Amino acid sequence: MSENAPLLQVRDLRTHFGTGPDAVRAVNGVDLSVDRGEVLGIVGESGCGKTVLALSILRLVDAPGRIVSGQVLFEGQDVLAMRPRALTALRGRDIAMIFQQPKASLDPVMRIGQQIAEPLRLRGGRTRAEAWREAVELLGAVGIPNPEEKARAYPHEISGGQAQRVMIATALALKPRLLIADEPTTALDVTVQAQILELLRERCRALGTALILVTHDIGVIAQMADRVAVMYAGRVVENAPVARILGDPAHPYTRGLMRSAPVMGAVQARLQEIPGGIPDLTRPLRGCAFAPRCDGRRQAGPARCDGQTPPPFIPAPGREARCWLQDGAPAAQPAPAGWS
Amino acid sequence: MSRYVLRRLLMALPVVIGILLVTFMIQAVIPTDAVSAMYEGQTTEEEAAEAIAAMRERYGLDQPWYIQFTRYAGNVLHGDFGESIRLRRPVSEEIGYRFINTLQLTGAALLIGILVGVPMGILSAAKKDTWLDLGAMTVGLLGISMPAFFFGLLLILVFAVWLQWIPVVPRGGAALLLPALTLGLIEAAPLSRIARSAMIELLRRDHIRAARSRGMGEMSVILRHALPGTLLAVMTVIGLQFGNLLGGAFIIEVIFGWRGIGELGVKAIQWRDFALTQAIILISAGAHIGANLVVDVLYAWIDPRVDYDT
Amino acid sequence: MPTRRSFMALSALAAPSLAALPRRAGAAPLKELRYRLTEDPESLHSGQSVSLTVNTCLNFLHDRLIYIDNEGKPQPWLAESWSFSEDNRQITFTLRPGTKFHDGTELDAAAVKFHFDSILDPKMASPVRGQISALESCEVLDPLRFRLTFSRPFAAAMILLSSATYGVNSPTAVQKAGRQYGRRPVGTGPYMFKSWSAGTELVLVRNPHYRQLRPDAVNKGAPYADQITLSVLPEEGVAFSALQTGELSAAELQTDTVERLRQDKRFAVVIDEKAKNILFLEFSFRPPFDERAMRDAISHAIDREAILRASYSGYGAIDLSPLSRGIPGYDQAVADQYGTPYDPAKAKALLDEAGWKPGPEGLRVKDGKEAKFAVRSYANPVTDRALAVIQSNLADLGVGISISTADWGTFYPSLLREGWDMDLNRWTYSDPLVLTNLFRPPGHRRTLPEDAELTRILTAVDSTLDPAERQKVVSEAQKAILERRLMVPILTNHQVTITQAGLQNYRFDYLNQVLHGDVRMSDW
Repeated sequence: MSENAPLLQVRDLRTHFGTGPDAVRAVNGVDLSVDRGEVLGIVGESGCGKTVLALSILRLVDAPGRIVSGQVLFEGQDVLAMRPRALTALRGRDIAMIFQQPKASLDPVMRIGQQIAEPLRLRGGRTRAEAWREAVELLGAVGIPNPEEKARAYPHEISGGQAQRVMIATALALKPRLLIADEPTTALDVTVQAQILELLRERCRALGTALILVTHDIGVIAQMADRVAVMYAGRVVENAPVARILGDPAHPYTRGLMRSAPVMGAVQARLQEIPGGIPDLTRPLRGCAFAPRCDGRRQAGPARCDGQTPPPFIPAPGREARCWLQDGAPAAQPAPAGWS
Repeated sequence: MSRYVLRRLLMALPVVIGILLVTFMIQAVIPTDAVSAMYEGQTTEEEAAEAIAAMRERYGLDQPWYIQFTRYAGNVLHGDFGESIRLRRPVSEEIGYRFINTLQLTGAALLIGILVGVPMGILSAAKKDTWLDLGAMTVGLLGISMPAFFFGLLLILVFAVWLQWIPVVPRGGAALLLPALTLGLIEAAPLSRIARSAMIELLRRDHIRAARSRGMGEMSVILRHALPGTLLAVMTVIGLQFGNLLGGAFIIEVIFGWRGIGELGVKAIQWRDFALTQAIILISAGAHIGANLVVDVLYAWIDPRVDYDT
Repeated sequence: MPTRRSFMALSALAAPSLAALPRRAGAAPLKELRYRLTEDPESLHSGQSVSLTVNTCLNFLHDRLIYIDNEGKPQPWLAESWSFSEDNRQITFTLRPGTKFHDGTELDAAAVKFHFDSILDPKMASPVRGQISALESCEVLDPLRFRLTFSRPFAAAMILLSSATYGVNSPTAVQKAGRQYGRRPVGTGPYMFKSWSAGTELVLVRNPHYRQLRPDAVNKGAPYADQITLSVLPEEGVAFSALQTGELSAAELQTDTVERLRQDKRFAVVIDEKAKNILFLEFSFRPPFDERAMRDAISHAIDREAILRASYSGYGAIDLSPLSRGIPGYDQAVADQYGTPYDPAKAKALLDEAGWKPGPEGLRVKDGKEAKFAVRSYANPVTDRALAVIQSNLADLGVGISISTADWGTFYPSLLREGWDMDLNRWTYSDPLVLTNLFRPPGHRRTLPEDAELTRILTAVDSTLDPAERQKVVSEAQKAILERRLMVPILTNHQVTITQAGLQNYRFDYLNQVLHGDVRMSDW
């Protein structure tokens, strides 16, 4: 596998909840890629499917959800096709994940140090004593003061911010090549958020770990991401470097998002919102999912936007957007199938 | 913690006194008494008038109920639980060995119940919605709905009469086998269902998902991270069941002739033997309270999040 | 230091473990007989209990002063002779010499006195005292003679003295054991006490020095069996199973269960037809039961055969006399002449004549009052079934009854109060004195009207000692009770015992007791 090939490639991933015609199509055909060491931000409003997408990559979706089709290629191997043993081996060692509620993600009746040491012992081959020492070190590395003492504490005795640090320490214990962070700061105080994000960035850089950062907060994206994928109604509607997304969004939805974000220093009577709500995901979508709320729809004409699902167009190299408005823009060609 | 325990014990005292008083009054109100009960169908009260009077006097049955109760309460404080009218000997002698018998039966039954029920429940949860799960839960439902009476006799029929593995009237230690098995299997049913629900609920938790994301195998996850919580839930039920059973699994005891508290309780009520009934109720209440207390203490000890002193 | 986790793992396993499985029997085959007790005897202190189960157990351990032969006459046993005083208030007994208790001490007059004193002692509060209330004292005349003094001539004395609870205890043993004596009895009988696993089983062993003095016994020496085990098995189902696997040599079973083993060649059925119980219906003598016609009609309306079939699967005999067949003095002629056989037509005619006209809903009405009455009984499957038949019989007659049952201790005292019209009762007693106890006005529940003639006859039953005279008086008593329609006798049920086919000499004497020294297995 060449150095330039992406670390992770997601192809036409579909995850549904329930069966039959009324199934909720939470992830409705997603294509993505992540390069080594890259920080990919996945942004979208609640219910767009970004969390389910994140869980799907590691096959952590619980019943009644199930991955219906698609591929998740990690270093060339399809995670979705792996046998249970290979999958268990992959998790933690190659790909790790941290979650939104850090305290809830810790075993409440186990000491923190033990929880960090556990993967080291069970999978990293360390002895009890070695694992404990390393766990204490890791705690120190994520910025927990008095790590020897804190290692003996229980989850309910530490704060949310500290818990997330612990989670980061645990997730990175085996030095995975990809870390998926699902809304890691959403449940934390604003003041702590910045610290945690900084920690994430620093640790991932130090280990060379790629990071998929799922969030609904544009500010987080702006701070952390190299590249951004915007999700809407189970699909990625735009995928571009962060500068482009922030400065020159191609998709009407992205534009709406950027407009509605409060800007420091600006004086606004009210926040700009995107009218309407996300579509009913139990119905198969015809046409562009965003069409009912799109202000650019008039231009492309209702027939196109309502009747046909726009394929990803490439408005510029390294960018793609699923929008009929792109058709006719210079250099905007529909992306060939499988392009990423 | 010790302050907490002390508080609980002190709170238990009025409860126990209240139970005793209520039982006493019920017995006072019922239009019958132990002495009449002794002469069933053979002797008229006239014939026995003298004897009956002597017995009534000896046991203070002709006094008004509040005097009887005060006398009784006073004696209890000195450790004297009175004499059984029917058995003509001190209550404590009879209760002593019977309580131990019930303890044996309860202990053995719970052991069987736990060893059979909890793994079954855990396995069902791990293999949820498979045939194993369905089968186990059906068997569990059967266990809950099955009357103990019927099940006991069924086991006797199968093991003693058909298979002849053990005698119908076992002597010595073997006598514990069938009653403990009957009671144990019956107990296993609710235990397995609770273990299963607790496990299923726990497996939904975030920290389980986090553990899986770290690449822990399913069995590992279940045993290291879900089991403690499950055992906590099961333990609460076990504690309550223990309290119940110590009061006497009387149906089982009666069928198998297991001389425990429950069987004595049934007889004591039939005989209207006041002193025996009171003592058994006392023990029953004490067992409940004690079991509850032990479970609460264990809970606090095991789950670090629980702290009673604050 | 144990972690929380290891504690939980350990505690899940820490509990009393199951004991070892049964061991095989010892080397030399023990000649053992195993019987069933339907309940745990509360104590084996002879003279301190009236429980039938206790009596059954005492029967193994004690010989008595006299026994009753098949004609109902007292015969010498441990006493070799006796005589009555002029006024019939005293009986002087002479003991056979040389009878020893199980502990080797002598049975002498002092021992007998000791026994009667403990019955009479108010501090002991013995229920037996009530049975023999006429007894005043017992005196020793010489080492082998003693005298019982009664407050009045007491005809039932001899029958009572032959029951197991008058088996004499060894005074030495009683004094040594004190309150614990009831757990370690010492008597003179064919078997000796060995051990008692409280409430589970009672083990007795052969008395090697035993001499059987009764001429009606087969075995005059030590009993055949080495050991007797009495297992407490209250559950019919369990006893039944134990019989099938051979773990019981014999068991008394309820009649429903009996049917299933009747045809089985492995078992034999022993029916005790000398049973001394009686199931009967009584009247409260409150209106309209103070009317002769109503009592008459109901007496003819009861289908005794149906009740016998329903309650006891036919194992028993219907009674037309207030005295059961098994009690000495039963008079068949009186029953035939004065009894009220089942005759529903006659019953209806009697009520018609008395002015009870058929009314709405099938109930008869007279003077605006409906024929709807309250019947009480004690709670028991037998009475339940009997009451169902009675209810149906009376419904045919146009009389409705409401039934309420409760346990004996509640039912029996409640009959002293108002609120009932009839009750279904059952009494077990071995002597005709039962008629006096129950029916001498005002009667055992104070319901009977004054009746000088009846009182005279029933008092005579109590006090006539001469057997021939007594027989006459007892016949008169049966006639008097029947004539007055005081009650409706229904049936006597016969105890049914199923034994292993190889069990020999298991039979009942006149007082429904087994001569245990005689019983053996055919292959011994």
